[in-house]
Amino acid sequence: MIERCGDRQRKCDGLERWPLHFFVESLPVMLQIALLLLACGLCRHMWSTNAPVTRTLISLTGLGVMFYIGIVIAGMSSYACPFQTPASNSLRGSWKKVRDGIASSVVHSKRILSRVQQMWKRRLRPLRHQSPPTIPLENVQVRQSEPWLKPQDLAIIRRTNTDDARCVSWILRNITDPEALDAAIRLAGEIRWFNDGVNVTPPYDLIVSTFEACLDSTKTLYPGSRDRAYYSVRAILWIHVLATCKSEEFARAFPLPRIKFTTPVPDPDLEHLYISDGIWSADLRIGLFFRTEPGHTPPHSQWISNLILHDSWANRTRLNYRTILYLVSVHKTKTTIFLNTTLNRLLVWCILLGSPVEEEVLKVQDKSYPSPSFAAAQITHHSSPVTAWDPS
Amino acid sequence: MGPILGQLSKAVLSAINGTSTQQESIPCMLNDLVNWENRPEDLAGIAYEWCSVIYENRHRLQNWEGLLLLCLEIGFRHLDLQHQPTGGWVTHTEHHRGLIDVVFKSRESEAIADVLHVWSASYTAQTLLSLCASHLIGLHSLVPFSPRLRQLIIRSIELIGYKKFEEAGVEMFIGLLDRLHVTAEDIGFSFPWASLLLDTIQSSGGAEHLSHWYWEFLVELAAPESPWLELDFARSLQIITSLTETKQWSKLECWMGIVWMLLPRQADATAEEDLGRSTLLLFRQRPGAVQKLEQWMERWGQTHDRDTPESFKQICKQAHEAAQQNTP
Repeated sequence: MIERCGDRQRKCDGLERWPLHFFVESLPVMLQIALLLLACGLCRHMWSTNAPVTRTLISLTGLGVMFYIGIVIAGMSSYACPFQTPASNSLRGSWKKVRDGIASSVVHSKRILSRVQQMWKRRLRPLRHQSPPTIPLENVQVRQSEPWLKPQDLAIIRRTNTDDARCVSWILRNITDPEALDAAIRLAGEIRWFNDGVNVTPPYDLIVSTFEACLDSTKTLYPGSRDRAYYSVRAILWIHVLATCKSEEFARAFPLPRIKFTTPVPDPDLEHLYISDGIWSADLRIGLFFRTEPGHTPPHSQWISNLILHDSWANRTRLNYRTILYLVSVHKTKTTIFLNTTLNRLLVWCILLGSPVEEEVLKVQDKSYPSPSFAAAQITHHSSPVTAWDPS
Repeated sequence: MGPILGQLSKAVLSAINGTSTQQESIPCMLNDLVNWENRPEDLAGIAYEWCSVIYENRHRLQNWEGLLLLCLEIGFRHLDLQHQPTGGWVTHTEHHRGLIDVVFKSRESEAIADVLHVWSASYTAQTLLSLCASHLIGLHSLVPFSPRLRQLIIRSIELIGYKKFEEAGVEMFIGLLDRLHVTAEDIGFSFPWASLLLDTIQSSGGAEHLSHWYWEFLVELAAPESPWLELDFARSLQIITSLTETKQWSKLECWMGIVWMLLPRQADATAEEDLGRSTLLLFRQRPGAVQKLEQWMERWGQTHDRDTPESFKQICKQAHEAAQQNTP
C-alpha cells in the first residue's frame, strides 16, 4: 500500500514538474484551429465555384464559431459549468487578475487622495487658529473590517454542504474502502443535515452499525478502531441532536443506540453514548452534553453550543425552554469553558427573549470547532478537522 | 464580544417592554449572567441601562426590585475598585434615582456598594450620590460593612462633602465616621477630607463628639493642605475655650496645632495674643505638648517653605524656660 502511494506521488510530482496538462489541453485547441482553417479554406475555395453552397458553408462556420464563443463565455462565467475549454480557463484567470487589479488600484487611489487631503490640511493649519497636534496619518492604524461571509461565499458553502451530504450518503452506501468510509464518517459529523436545502436522509443506520462493528461481543473496543469509533459516535450524536433541534418527533427517526459497555469507557466522548439509555428526553440529553463534569470535554460543549445557536437562530424560538436551562447549568459547575460557548449562550438568550439576532452579529461570532480532547491522548490518529460554521 | 453584548442589551430592553412570556425569561437570563465569571467591563454600562428601563417599567414587571439588584450585581460587583472608567462609561437618567430607595431598603451591603461604585466612579453622578447622604449616615447600625462597602462609603463621603451630611444630622455622621475609622491609606485626596473634618469640628457639637483619632488625622492632613483651608477664627477660639473648660487636653493639643497652621500671615494682633494665652495654658497643663507642636509646626514650615510665627516661637521659649525653672 505504501509502495503504491509512493509510486503515485512520484508520478503526480512528475506531471506537475513537466507541464503535461499544457500539452494535453493544447491538442483539442489545435484540432479546433485546424477545423476553423479547413472551414475557411473550403469557403474560399467554393466562393469561385458555387456561391449558394459557399453561403451555406459560411453560415454553418459562423454558427460553429458563435457556439464555441458561447461555450467559452459560459465556462468562463462559472466553474461549475460542464462545458469547460482551455480558453475559458485562461480567460477566467485573466479576468480575475484584471478585476483584482482594478480593485487594488481603486484602493490605492483612495489612499493617495486621503494623503493629499491630509497634506492640504497640514498646509492650511498654520493659517487657521492654533489647533492641537494630531497624530500623523502614517501612525494611525486603520483596521478595515472584513466581512465574515460574503453572499457568494454563503452560496458556495451551502452548495458544498449539499454536495457533501450526497457524497457521504453515496460513499457509505456503496463503497467498502475503509479509508473512504472513515473519511465519510468524519464528514458526516460536520454536515448540516436537514438544513440549507439538504434533502438527503443521513445514512444513520450505517453509521450506527459501523460504530457497533468497532466493539466486540463484550462491548470492548477492538484495538486500532478507536478513531473510527470516535468519529462514528460524533456523527451519531450530531445527527441525533440536529434532528432533536428540529423537533422531538423528528428525532425519533434517529434514536441513539442503546449500548451498555461492560468495561469502563476510556474516552469521555465515547461515554456520551453510555448515558443514552432512552429514558431521558432529548432535552436532557442535550443538557448532559453541556455538563462539564470531569471527563466531559469543553470542546464538546462548544461543538453542541454552536449547533444549538445555529438551530435556534434558524428556527427562532422553536428550541425548548428547558434546553436553555441546561445551558445555564454549565456555568454553575464553575469549570473552564470556552468563551465562545458563553457568547453562543448569550445569543441563544437573545433568541429566547424574542429578539431576532442580527445576521451581522451572528457572523462576527467565531464558530470554530476546537480540537477534541482526545487529540491530547497518546494514540495515533488523524488530526481533527476544524469546521468553519456557517450560521446563515 | 461587543456586538453580541449590544444584541443582548437590545433583546432585554425589548423583552422588558414585551409580552409576559418574554418577561418571564428575564430573571433566568440575569441569573445566568451573574454566574458568568470574568464578565467584561462593557457589561457595566449595559446593566446600568437595564436598571433605568426596569425602573421605568416597574409597574409591569414582577419582582422588579430583585431585577434591579441583579442588574447591579451583573454590572458592577466584579469590577475592581481602582477601575478607572472612561468618559462614556454609564449614562444616568432620572429613573436611576429610584435605585436609592430599592437598594437601601434591601439592606444588602454588596448591592449598596454596587450603587456607590457606579455613582462614585462617574463625575456626572454627583447629584445622585448626594441623595445617598441621608441613607449613609445611619447605615452602620443596619448593615455590616464589608471591606468593599467601607471603601466605597469613604470614597462617597469624600465626593459628597460636608454640607449634605450636616443637613442629614451631624451626630449620626460622626457615628458613621467613628465606624469607618478612616486612615490616610483609605482616602483618594487629602483636601476634601481635611475640609470635611474641619467643618465637622467647627459645627455645633462636632468638637464634642468627634473622636480623638480624627483630630490627629486632621493635623496630618492640614499640614500639606493649609494654604487652601479656611478657618473661622472666632469659632476656633470658642472651640479652644470649650475644650479647655471640659479639659480635653489631647483634642486641644491637636486643635492648637491646626489653628497655628491655618493662622493667616496678617492675623489680628489681639487674636494672636488670645491664641498665645490659650497655648501657654495648654503647655502648663500638658508640658509634653510643646515638643509635639514644635514638631508639627516645623514640618508645616518645611512643607510650605515658611517660617514658624514669631509669637509661637516666643510662647514655646517661655514654656521651655518655665519647664527648666520647675526642674529641681
